[in-house]
Amino acid sequence: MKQTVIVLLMSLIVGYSVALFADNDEHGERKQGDRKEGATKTGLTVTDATYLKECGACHFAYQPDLLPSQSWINMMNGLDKHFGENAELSEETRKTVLAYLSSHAAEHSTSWYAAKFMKSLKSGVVPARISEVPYFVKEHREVPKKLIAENPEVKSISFCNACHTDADTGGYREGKINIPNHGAWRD
Amino acid sequence: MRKIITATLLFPIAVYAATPLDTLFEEYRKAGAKEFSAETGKTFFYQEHKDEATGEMRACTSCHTKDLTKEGKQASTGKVIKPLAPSANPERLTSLEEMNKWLKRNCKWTVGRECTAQEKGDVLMFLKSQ
Repeated sequence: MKQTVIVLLMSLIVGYSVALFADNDEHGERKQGDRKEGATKTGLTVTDATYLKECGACHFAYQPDLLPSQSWINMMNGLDKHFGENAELSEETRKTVLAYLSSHAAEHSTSWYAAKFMKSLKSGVVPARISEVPYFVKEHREVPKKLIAENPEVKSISFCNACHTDADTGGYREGKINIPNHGAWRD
Repeated sequence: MRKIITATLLFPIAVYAATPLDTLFEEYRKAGAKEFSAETGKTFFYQEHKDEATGEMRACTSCHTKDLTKEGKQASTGKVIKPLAPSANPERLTSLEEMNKWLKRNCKWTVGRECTAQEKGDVLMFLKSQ
C-alpha cells in the first residue's frame, strides 16, 4: 500500500513537471495567455507592397519592427553599398520605402517582439543588421555554425526564412523551425 | 481627302505607341550610340569582370546563368530569379522603370560602373532575341 502511494505521488510530480516544462519555453519567455498563432502573437507583419516588391526581389522581406528607424535610414541612404550589393532605387521609390520602414520601425511598433529588440539595444547603438541586435544574438546563441554558415541551404543567419517556415507571417515560433539538412529544433 | 485626314489624325497614335524598348534605343541613339548588335551584347553579357574590393569575378551570368531561358539565382541570397529571356518570361523588357533600375544597379555591381548607352543598347538587343 505504502509503495503504491509513493509510486502514485512520484508519477504525479513527474507528470506535473513535464506539463509545466514541456512547452519548449524552458527559458520562461512566453507569458501566460500568449497562445495565439504567428503574427497575431508577435504582431510582426509586412504591409507595404512597394517594400515587398523592391526589397523582397532579392531576399526575405524583413519586418521593419526588427530594427530601430535610424538603422533603416542609414541603410536606405547607402543602397549602393548594401551588404556587398548595389540595391539602388529611383529616388521616388527610395523615399517611399524609407518612409514605410522608418515609420514601422522597432520604436514605433506595437509588437512586444519589437519591444524586446529595442530594450536589448544599448543606448545610442545603431545596428546595421537585425542579426547584430543583442536579443537576436541571445535567441540564436545555441545554434551551431554547422547548421547555418556551413549549411549550403542556409548560408547565413540573415536568411530567416531558410529555417523559420513562418518567417513571412512573422511567427518565428520555435515549433515551426525546419533547418535544411537537419530538421526541427530540439533543445 | 478623307483618307488623308484619317491618316494624319492616326499618325500621332502610331508615334506615341512606341514600346519601352523603342524608347530606350532612341534615348541611347541620342546619347551617341551607333548601330546595336545582339552579338556584341551577348559577348558583353558573358564577360567576366574582377571586383576591386573582393577580388571575385563577376558577370551577368553570375546570377542569370548562361541559359537565359532557365531560372537564375541571386549570387548572395540564393533567391530564385525568373528567366531573363522574353521567350521564357513574357514580362521581360516591358517596363521602362524596371529596365532602367536593373541596368543601373547590375552594371555597377558587375562591371564596376554604369554601362554606356552603346553597351546597354547591345545588351537589350541581345536579350530581345532570347
